[in-house]
Amino acid sequence: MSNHPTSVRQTGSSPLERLLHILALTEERELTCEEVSQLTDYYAELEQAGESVQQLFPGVTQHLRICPECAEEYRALRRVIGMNGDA
Amino acid sequence: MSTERSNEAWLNDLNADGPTRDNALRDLLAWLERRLFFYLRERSDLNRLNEDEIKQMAADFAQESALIILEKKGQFQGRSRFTTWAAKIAVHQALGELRRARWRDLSLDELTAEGAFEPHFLSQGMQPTPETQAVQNAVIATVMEVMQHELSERQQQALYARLVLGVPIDMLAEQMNSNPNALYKLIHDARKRLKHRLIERGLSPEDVLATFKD
Repeated sequence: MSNHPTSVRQTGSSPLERLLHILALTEERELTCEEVSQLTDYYAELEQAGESVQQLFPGVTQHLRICPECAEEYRALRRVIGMNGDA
Repeated sequence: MSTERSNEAWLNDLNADGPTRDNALRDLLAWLERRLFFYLRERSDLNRLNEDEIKQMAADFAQESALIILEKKGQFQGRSRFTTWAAKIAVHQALGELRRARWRDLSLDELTAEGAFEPHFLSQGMQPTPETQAVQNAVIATVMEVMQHELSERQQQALYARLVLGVPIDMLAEQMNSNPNALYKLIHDARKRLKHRLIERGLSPEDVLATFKD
């Protein structure tokens, strides 16, 4: 079972709870979508190799939890490179 | 078909002339097309399409992505396998197009015409107990106060579009004549402001969420 992050949009909660989830995850310094995109291929392969990506790249993990589009693209990347299935 | 090339071989072959380049490009296209097809076939929002239509969609996305990959291959830094890097570009391209198709009729002015953030949007779906009602009211009052007095109109609009309407950041950036990076920073500043104010009032988001779950 993978431990890749689940983004806030997926929680299916009320707008207030979503806001609070987002605020709970908010950090003083965050990576932007573009910065995260520079790293996701490397991050995916490290995760595939069983490395602790959440410790190695906490900024990427945090962004993937807070940004639904980047999270969706990361999940798709994992599928496309065959991390959890037959692709 | 061979995708067993090393990163160096991929770059050499794609930078070559004639049949070497054509073969590498054909292999890359076939690999992307097949992988995208498997992915798209699983998407529930595309289950109205038959297998041929999904195949065509995968082929189109692979073709568009290959052009971008050829253009950007000089930026490949070799941290991952070349195919993983290429897949990242293809996924971004494909999902960006799917988002654009889903939100093509987006008019932010129309969607936010009712006046952006209102307390009733925030409390939608909440079922407070007598114990949590006071906390909920205090959180909403703080959020509304920050929204109205500390955040710009653009920050309010962006937060509303993202949080309540779920507008993707790339689509929202287009609507707001911005770019995703600038918009991310605008919203990040707003989130930090909200978080600071809540914490100052003893309403740390983590604690409040825990209260709601009790």
